Amino acid sequence: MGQSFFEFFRYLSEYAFLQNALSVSIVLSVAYSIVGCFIVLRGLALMGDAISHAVLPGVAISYLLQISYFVGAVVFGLMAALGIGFVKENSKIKSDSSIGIVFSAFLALGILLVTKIQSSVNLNNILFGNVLTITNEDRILTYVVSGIVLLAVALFYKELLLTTFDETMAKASGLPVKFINYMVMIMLTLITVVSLQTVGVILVVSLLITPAATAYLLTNKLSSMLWVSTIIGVVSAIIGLYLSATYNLPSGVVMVLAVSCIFVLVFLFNRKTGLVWNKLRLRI
Amino acid sequence: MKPYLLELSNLNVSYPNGIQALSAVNLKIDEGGLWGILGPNGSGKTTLLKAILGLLPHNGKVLFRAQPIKKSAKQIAYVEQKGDFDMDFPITVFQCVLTGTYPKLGLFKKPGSSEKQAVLNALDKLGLMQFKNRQIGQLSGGQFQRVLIARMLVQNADLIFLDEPFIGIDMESEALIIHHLKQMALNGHTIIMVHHDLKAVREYFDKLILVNRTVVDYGATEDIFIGEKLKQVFPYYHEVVLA
Repeated sequence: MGQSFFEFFRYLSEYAFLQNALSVSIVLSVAYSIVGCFIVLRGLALMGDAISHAVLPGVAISYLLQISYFVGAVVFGLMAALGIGFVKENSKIKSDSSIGIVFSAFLALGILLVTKIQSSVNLNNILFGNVLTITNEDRILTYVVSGIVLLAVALFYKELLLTTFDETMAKASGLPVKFINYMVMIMLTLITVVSLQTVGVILVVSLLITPAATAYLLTNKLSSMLWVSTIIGVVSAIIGLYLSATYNLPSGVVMVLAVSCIFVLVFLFNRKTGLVWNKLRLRI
Repeated sequence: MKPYLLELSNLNVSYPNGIQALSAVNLKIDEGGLWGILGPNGSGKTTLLKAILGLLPHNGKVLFRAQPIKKSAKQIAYVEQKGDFDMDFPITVFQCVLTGTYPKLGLFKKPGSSEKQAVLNALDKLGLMQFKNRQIGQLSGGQFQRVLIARMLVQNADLIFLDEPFIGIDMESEALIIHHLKQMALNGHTIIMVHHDLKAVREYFDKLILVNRTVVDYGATEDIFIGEKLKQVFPYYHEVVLA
């Protein structure tokens, strides 16, 4: 293992594609770990899952029109988010059901389109991603989108905090609650779309939710949660890329497994709320 | 002539299922004083507060100093029922109270030393200094209600609404909170509070609003807290209270 770790660094210094994959993974993991905190705290985890699946027809249509997959995916992601809100607000159907209805319809449409234009779309890459094959164009797009999202969080930090913690007070005291809520949905869509290249449609929600949920178990302050989530996201991205490059495993899948292992360890063994410690305390 | 602090004209609120929650509410409130809103369960007390604050769709006029109330939202504070909060949210007592400074700060500005000092002063007044670094879920009901009052203090709003702040809290917290509310009313703030314990009404409030699907009557406590007026909203219970 030690030898392969050094080999990884040797490869890293030699191969530009590996350097690109590492830098993209780190930048992206910072962005999704931070956005993920607001998604977890606002109870929007299912929405993240829905958006990630709903972008599939957008990706397929983009290939068909020979435009960047990003444009189509963002358009369909936002359409799904708005569609879910529309069904919920204009009927007595609850949010989880409206998410299920809209996202499965979008996913079905996406699969249909991908199957029909299979020759030009690599379904495997959309479903599971591969950061090692990321193009220069997508790399720059990832940096720009992540930068915009992080800047938005920094600029609107206090509004994000208050609207997430106490939306009623935020509304009553005149804060732009609707604007912030739309901003969160747009950030979620953008990060989901740029993460597709790394982990694909199926697993992207794991990277959005798991680092944040793990940090949630460990912290008492939002600022600490953001830091801890970021560290967990970055560490699991590096571990994932290292194992992927060294043992020729799919990068996204390994990243998801790495962050899931960290979650299980924290869930069981953290000193404050860990399941094992709680059981031990009860016995004592 | 000085405009009313709050003026409601023909305010109507109906729920999506068609039920009329409040009809033809008319109310004029001058600056200053501690007002109690009284009425039976389901009479529309919380609905009235939420409609005034623009949290519920409604018809009619809601004016704050003769202007639409939305224009002055930063001058208004609302302490909702403590049961509406996510007590696992990663926020400490200090930060929770600090959020009271956010509305007046404006976009992009962060709280500075004066805002943080205001938070410390409020925590000190409400006897919460020893809990300032605790996560809110580690507090008792009374302690958390005091946190919400501390947050309201740092908001320093001209018009303050509270929705049943004394439900499920200890007597000591209730006494401390009412002391600070009275102090604020003396300093010119206007406080309007939904309240359910009729036995403490004379002691707590300068003025009352009786609600039963509309504003039935309002005015000075000594004029409103009498049998013939109370009978309109509490047809049986008023006799127990006034006995």
